[in-house]
Amino acid sequence: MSAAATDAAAAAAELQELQVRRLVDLAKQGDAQAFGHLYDRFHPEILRYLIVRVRDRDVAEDIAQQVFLKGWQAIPRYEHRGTPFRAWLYRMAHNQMVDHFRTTRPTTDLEGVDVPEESEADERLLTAETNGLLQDALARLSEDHRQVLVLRFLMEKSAREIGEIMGRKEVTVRGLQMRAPQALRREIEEMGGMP
Amino acid sequence: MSQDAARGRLALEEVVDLCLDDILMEVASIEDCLDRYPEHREALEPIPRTAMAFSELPMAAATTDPARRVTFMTALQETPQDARRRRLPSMGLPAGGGTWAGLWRGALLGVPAAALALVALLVVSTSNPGVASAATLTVFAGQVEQQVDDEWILAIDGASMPEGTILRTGSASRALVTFPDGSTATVDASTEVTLRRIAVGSTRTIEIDQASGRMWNDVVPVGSGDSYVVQTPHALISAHGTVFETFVDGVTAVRADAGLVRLSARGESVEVGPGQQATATVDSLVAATQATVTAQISVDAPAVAYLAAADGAATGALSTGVVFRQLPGVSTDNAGSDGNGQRFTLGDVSPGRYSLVVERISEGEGEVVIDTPAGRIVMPVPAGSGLSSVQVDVVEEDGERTVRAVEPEVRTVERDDTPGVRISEAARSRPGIDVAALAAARRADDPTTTAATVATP
Repeated sequence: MSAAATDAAAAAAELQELQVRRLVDLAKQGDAQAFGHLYDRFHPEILRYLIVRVRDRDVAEDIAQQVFLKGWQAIPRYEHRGTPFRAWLYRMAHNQMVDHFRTTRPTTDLEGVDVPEESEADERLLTAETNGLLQDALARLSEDHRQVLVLRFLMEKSAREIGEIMGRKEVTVRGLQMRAPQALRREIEEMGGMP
Repeated sequence: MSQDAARGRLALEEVVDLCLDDILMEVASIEDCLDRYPEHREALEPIPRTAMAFSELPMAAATTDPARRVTFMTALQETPQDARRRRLPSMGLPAGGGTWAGLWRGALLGVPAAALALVALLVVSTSNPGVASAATLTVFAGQVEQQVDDEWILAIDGASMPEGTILRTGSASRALVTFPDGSTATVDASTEVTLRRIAVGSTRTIEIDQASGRMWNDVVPVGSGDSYVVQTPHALISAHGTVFETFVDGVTAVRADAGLVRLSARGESVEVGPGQQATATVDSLVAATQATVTAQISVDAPAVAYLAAADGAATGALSTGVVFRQLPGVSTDNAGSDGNGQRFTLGDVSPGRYSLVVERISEGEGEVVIDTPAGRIVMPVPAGSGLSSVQVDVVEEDGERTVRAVEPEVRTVERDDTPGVRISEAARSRPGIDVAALAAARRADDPTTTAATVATP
């Protein structure tokens, strides 16, 4: 990316951040429409994260609704100086998901996830086997490793953003993002290796 | 674990982070990364390979179901919000310690605005050590108001303005906001701004929301990690250490007088360079064009000078070395007609009478030169030490602005006869000119050896 394009992207990001800040301020004052705009902006991303984590679209949809309703209730206590708003939502989504898993067992297949169609049956089978293995190996990891893998490699967040979401220092996240793939690889090898 | 071992482990974590960034952004392959860090190849190789295999997991499409949104908005209307934290939102008092905040709030709401501002300053200045989060207000003319608990109250000259403060000026008023780093924003008549964020510590973040009117920003050069941003209803303006004007009235117009400004709107952005202007509306972004210069006033003399309006707002330099730019539409630099001295560039400056005050820093001949489209006026600076002054009028004729000298000469004056300059403490600490070096260079009678410069962003 050129320096000019990087600068333009940074300026656009600044603009978006200020717009979010303004919407949050209005929502803090009880403006439901402003919170509706925040819902429009962040709901798809939070939903995507939840689908990956709970592996059931309907359940993810329900949790996402609960997250945003809780966000509406709690936003008067939200402070700009603390966690960025996006990270604040992620934290609520994570906590809500943990609550969900406390009362139900996680599913172990890709029910509800729209797996892209493959043209060849063998390839489809191989892909499904690989995906299943990765998902099973993921389920055997610690929660920290799971969260870092999903946020870093599926949601494509930076170490800084993940630190904000998890409430950890960036240097800690860097350590986790190195050890999480190592742990995943160990689990895969214990399960017989990649197909 | 030895220190070297600890450094080695950290180095690998750093390398992994750099590699993953590049691979995820598709600017490098796994092989590229392994080649780049051969000393880490063995330890590094399995990490990105496993990570990239994981990143190939299918991701569900996650668009918002319109029916679910309707359900959500209905539920929202029926869901009460939690109680707000007890704090003083409009004064920006920190929430730390609800009990204390509550006590402050109860105690403060009944006291005059001046006391309110003073206590806000004390609380803010002690709440976050190392980070200054309040500006200082200087009222030049008329009444300036600040919003407290949704009501407009008179803002006090010299008061501290914590972040979150909303200010507005009347149709005949003007004020100056001085930030902790010495950057200033002149808030012209009929202008409303919110000091959205002020955080000056090891880095600087200053964010201003400008709802209407005109603001003249003089920004101390922005370093890595710093930002000075003005948000308007139409655009975002980012400064990199510069002097620029923002004007909001149905559109957002930006004019840069020094340095670079970036105007961003609707996903596009334009760079506005010195002497250029650009405009953003709700549906368009007009590229930078050359701005009109009304006049240039050069002080080609061993002196420093400032140009002051009747209300005390001024632009120029003092013999102490302090440089200030408070007058909207007037910038200053050290590029006089002989390559030295001091020059004032007058752009979209308000009509009225202004005093040019010249203070000698050493003996020697000199002159004041006023260049306008109508012609050039040259007036000698009086010999001897001390102060001299000449008054000029900015007038508007047939839609064009021009500058005229009220008197035909620059006259010697006493200090009491000159308009004073009001500079907040923070602005005195920003980089200025080395007057001693300037005087020494002048005494050597060799303009090319002049070591001092007026600080230009």
